[in-house]
Amino acid sequence: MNIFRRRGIVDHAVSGIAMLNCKQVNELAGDYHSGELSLAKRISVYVHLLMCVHCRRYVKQLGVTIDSVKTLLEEPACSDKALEETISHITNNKVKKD
Amino acid sequence: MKGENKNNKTSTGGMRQGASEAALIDRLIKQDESAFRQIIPLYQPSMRALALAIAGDSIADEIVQEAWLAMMRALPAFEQRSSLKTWLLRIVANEAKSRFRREKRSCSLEGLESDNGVMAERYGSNGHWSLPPARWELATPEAILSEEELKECIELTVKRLPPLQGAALKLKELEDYSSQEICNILDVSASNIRVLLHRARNSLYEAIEHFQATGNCRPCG
Ligand SMILES: [Zn+2]
Repeated sequence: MNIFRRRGIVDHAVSGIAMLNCKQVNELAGDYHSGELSLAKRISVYVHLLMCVHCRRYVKQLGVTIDSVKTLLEEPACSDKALEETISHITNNKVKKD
Repeated sequence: MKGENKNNKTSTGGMRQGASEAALIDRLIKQDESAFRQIIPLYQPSMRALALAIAGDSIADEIVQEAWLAMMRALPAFEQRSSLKTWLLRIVANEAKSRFRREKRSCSLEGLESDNGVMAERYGSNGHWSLPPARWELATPEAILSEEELKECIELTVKRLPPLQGAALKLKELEDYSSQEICNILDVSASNIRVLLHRARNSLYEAIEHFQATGNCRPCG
């Protein structure tokens, strides 16, 4: 783990690095893509990927999955009609006042 | 602490929290129509997507309209501990969940009953792959989405996800919300959010892999 120390990464982060099995990598893969893993976990996944061709493929294809879904989920913009409907809905149902 | 970069993302729909939002809220309370015109186009698509994921197409619009009124009622007491949009999505999620419970009581919101998540059967007891991933012929989002049937299959798979899995997925991948913000919106624990997202992503992975291997769609297989 010396390379990590040399790069100034703090010891307590390095100490959380674990040997992961493939199933554990699966559990962390989504957060690995979204950048929500702690440094130690990110390094743990990275080290496993260096050694494991299957997980490398899975993680890469999961990234493709997520990017495909992102494009597909794109919501249509709010139409003018929907905008006017919502405004009249809100103003016709004024909470107090009238 | 979770991710160190979770605060880097703007998850408030382009509107910064703070003074400008406080001024906006003030205008909304006074029922200034231009304020409605400003926020409805910004927030309504996300509200609808969330309502759709949780409660389904037939009542999504109703839930959104109901949420706007609920917002107007509650706005004077809103303390701005989250952004207006996050708070509004929380109202939508609450309304959608209670509608779902009322109408489809037999179904599960989270879909976490079985201990094993999707793909668990592809690993042996030692945690190594027993059924390793196949190399995808269609290996980029562009290639995948250019295949009309596969595209439909992905849409169908998203639609058939258990409600909170679909909701978490949309908030994460579409709205770029951090897991912590998703907890707040859906009122689900942090560990459950992780599982919801994990299962949703793996269901989609499996649907794409299955389609590429067989040419058939098997949503949530
Ligand atoms: Zn592996």
